[in-house]
Amino acid sequence: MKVLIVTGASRGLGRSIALAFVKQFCSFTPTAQETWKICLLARDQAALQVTQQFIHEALPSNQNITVNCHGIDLGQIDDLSDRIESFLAELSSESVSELYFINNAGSLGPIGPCRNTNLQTMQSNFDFNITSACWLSARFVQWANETMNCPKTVIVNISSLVAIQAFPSLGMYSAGKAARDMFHAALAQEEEDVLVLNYAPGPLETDMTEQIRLAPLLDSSLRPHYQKQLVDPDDSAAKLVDILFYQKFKSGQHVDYYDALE
Amino acid sequence: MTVQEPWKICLLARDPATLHVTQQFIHDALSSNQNITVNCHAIDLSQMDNLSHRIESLLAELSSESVSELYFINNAGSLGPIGPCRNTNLQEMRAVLDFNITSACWLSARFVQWAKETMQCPKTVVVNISSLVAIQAFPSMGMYSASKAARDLFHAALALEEEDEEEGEHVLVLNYAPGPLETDMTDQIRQAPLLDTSLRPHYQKQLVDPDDSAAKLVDILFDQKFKSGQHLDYYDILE
Repeated sequence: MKVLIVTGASRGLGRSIALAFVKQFCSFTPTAQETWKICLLARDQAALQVTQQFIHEALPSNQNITVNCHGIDLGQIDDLSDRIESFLAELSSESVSELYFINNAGSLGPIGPCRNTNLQTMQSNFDFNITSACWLSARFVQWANETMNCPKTVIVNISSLVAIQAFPSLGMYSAGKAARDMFHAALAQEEEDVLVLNYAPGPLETDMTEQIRLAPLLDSSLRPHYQKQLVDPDDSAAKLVDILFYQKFKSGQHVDYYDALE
Repeated sequence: MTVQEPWKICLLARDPATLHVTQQFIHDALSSNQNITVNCHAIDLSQMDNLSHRIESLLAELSSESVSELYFINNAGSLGPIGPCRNTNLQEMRAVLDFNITSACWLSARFVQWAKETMQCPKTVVVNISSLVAIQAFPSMGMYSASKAARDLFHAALALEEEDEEEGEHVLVLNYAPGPLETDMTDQIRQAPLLDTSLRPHYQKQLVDPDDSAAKLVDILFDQKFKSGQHLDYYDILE
């Protein structure tokens, strides 16, 4: 079977990517060897089921695609390993010929000057956005390679422009994205047989963007940028899926929605 | 050194004994200078639960006199495990990032906040000790790289935010990559069984004397040969 895992698939970009991926990768009639298991992970089980429903509606009468929802709080480090091991144990019953992991779940953290940083807030923010996220990519690669002998593994880290460029009042978010990018770039260098992509989706119209707009301490220089209509997450998701489907990237690369690709 | 310019040198680390050795070296280097006080503060900067409390005590002590210049060298750090990312241990990563990212970034933030808001200090300079790996990935150094990259971006954002001089209070921030040094940390790298083979030759040779790198940093700071928020490497040529 082939496996797609998407974190933060309950809304926003994660939902868009899950849908776009399934439409592109699962649209031909899968044979018995080409069953797909789509695993949607997020905290909100109910919202995941809405994503699941959208996927079912997009691919009618296709019995070889299973969509499962896993309500897991990926920011709870103490619990995470157990939950993920159970998840992997379930997946281990069939051989896996391809694994795609869309490492999308993330949070903004506080928007405002670095000097206001609260120690505990930062600690839990990085637990979720760096530690949990990086460990998931690492664990899935390890599992795919060492447990499942999976011949093709693709890891996508949802990145951001702020991973490579600093902006005032976005310091914590920037630090988290920068850490993820570097970790995934190192992973790419280490794993010859695994493809790794750092994908910056562009400035999207999602709940997260609303959070930014409503943040009282968003730097005034950035406000105009968020006043306009931004990128539809479905468009960004479609671009990502196109990049993946045609392998228009070099492993370890940082690719932005606005980059021109041949 | 006039009586108007006393210096307070605050040395922070986990190990009080070796802090005292540093203190002694400083005293040996500047004999009979009564206007320099050197204090040692043994604090485990990786212990999140205690950190805020310990630092507030330190700042309370420092708050009794006005401060005209504050320099903070944000240097404490650890390598973390050297080896493939795929072997990452969740709890270990959290502890390494608590120390290398969270604690370090919060310290810079808190010292800037204190200097400006409590002390109205006219000149604050924050130096984040960075690394080449903050801007370039290397196999088997993923966790170290991630933490250095996070620190760099945080300090770059801090620099942008603190650019405007409010009421005569300047804050300057530098990300300084000291070059590959001959220190205990380097020996750790050399002895790491899972250091990527492509990197071993690099560490076989004699590397940069930390005193040379320190002298370069101090020169950069003294003559302000940097733009706030910049990432400067030991090997960068400066005019």
